[in-house]
Amino acid sequence: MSKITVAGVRGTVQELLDYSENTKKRNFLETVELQVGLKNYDTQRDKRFSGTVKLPAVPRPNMTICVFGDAHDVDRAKHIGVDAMSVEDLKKLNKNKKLIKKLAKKYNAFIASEVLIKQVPRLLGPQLSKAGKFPTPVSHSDDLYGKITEVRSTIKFQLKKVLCLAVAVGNVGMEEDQLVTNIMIASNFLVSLLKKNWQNVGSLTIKSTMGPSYRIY
Amino acid sequence: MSLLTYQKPSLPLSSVSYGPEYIYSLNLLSSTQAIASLSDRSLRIFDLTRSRDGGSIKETSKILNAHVKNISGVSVLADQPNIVASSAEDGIVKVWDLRSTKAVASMSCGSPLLSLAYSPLTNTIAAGTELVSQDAKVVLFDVRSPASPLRTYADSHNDDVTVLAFHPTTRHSLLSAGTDALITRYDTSIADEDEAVAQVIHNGASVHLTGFLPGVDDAIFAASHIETWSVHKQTNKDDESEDESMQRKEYGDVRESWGCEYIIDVNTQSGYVAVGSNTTSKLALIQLDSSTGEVLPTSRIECDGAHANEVVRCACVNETYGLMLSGGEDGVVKTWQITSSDPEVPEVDEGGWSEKKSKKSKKHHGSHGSHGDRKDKKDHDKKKDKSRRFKPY
Repeated sequence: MSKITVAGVRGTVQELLDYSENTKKRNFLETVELQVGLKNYDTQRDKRFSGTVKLPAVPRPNMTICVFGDAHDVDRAKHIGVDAMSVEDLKKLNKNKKLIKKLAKKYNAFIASEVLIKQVPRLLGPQLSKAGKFPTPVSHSDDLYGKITEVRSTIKFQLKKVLCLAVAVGNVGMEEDQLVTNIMIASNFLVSLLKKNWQNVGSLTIKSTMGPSYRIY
Repeated sequence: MSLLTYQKPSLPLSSVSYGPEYIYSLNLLSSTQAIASLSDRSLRIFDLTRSRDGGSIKETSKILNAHVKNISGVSVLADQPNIVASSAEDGIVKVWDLRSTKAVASMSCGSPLLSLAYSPLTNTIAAGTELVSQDAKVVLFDVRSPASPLRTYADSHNDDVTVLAFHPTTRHSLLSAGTDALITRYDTSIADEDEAVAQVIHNGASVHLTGFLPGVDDAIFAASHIETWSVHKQTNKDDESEDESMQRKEYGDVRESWGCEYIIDVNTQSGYVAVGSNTTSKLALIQLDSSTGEVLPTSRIECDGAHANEVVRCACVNETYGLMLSGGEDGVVKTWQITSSDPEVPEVDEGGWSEKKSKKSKKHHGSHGSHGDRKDKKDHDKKKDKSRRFKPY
């Protein structure tokens, strides 16, 4: 049973958007963050808590992606206007650590054809793993554009040694409806993974990068 | 032995409580002994011999303050009786001789440890660390020369290494996985990390458990912290063929289809997945087809009221006794009879119990098994231990 209602969240989202758009408009696209404060949770002894959640609306539209593809996928990537590299391009890097690091820095995420992914450790060494950017596989039967959207709309969350965690659920440029849906899905999913569900939730707040925080639970 | 031949368990046979502490892990030392690690940083050893007749388990020895911080892993050195290794967040792997309850070796890794594995094939201990500044390391030690690490792989993960698993029969084959959602397969005979990494799998979600499926092509299974299940094919990084066949199978969020709230453990040898549910206070074993990674949620044994509404942290099965042990955040170690109705009860080769054994197998040949069984046990208990309360059904 969810303890937050769409109507309640909608009201708070309106306030938040109003502040960011009218009271103090910033010169960049502010991110909207969902912050969860936990209670009755012992970070020392209880299980660590981390994972990913896929949101219906893309929270980070500016995320840059590069596709490592075979001939077919390079064509597909070009067709939808996404940067792509072929095996030959990767071989040209010649396992040069500096070049690989530069490549890893240039993009936020990578996607590789399923047939190529097994060669990535050979071609690029452990650098991409180290940077946290090892490619996500895509097969020929998958829709490449859909896969890119999926990577862009998947957010990671992790509880470290403190009783709070935060996830980016959207930005102030999004429609109110999209933001509300993202917040609802993210919070309900996070709560479903807690051992005592809502009894472990102390507070839920939403906040834009530079704006004040609004409590929704 | 297939799980299908197990019966539905009754009420727990026995329980030992450690109050507010958590039970982190339970491992079988042999068919007659088990070891538990607790949140009070102690290790406890239990004798299981009495549970074969429905009796309770008994703590026979303990190691208090085994580590100065949380114990993160316990691994039984299967090829050496009475020797176990433990890892902890104090960054130290200790090897214990359980007869003297003393540490015979101590290996420091420098960063807090979160995972541990042992391969009897190469006498190697592997430990995985937390992310400290830029490094989340996998450190390997040779048990025979614990003075310095055999290998350190520091570049393959960019977040906490939560699980390690050696291949049960192939030498030098190790899996490591972590919160960064990556599963890395190493050939540990190679020291250079660039060469040692044989395969990297992007699992999509933070990995809770991983291991090899001892089937035809040794696939790799992964269970994530968001309770998803996937099976990946082993691949070779030098293979340049454009093989179009399926390389992974994703089952998505399994909480609903498996009828559980979280995955506790996976055992490919006995072929089960242990799962738990807080809201219904259930602990269940679900059959796992170890060759394909398919899970059969309908083929299951359920234990009601397992650990109240606390999380079950560990479960292990002693096939010799048809016994399951479980431990949870309520601090209780429980035993459950999941007796096989298969007449071919595995033989126990320890001496001196031949009489009991024949009695036991007779019971199993009995036609309408469970009820008679319990009654027998009840009688047995009264004779053996009058103080023990046995709740009638």
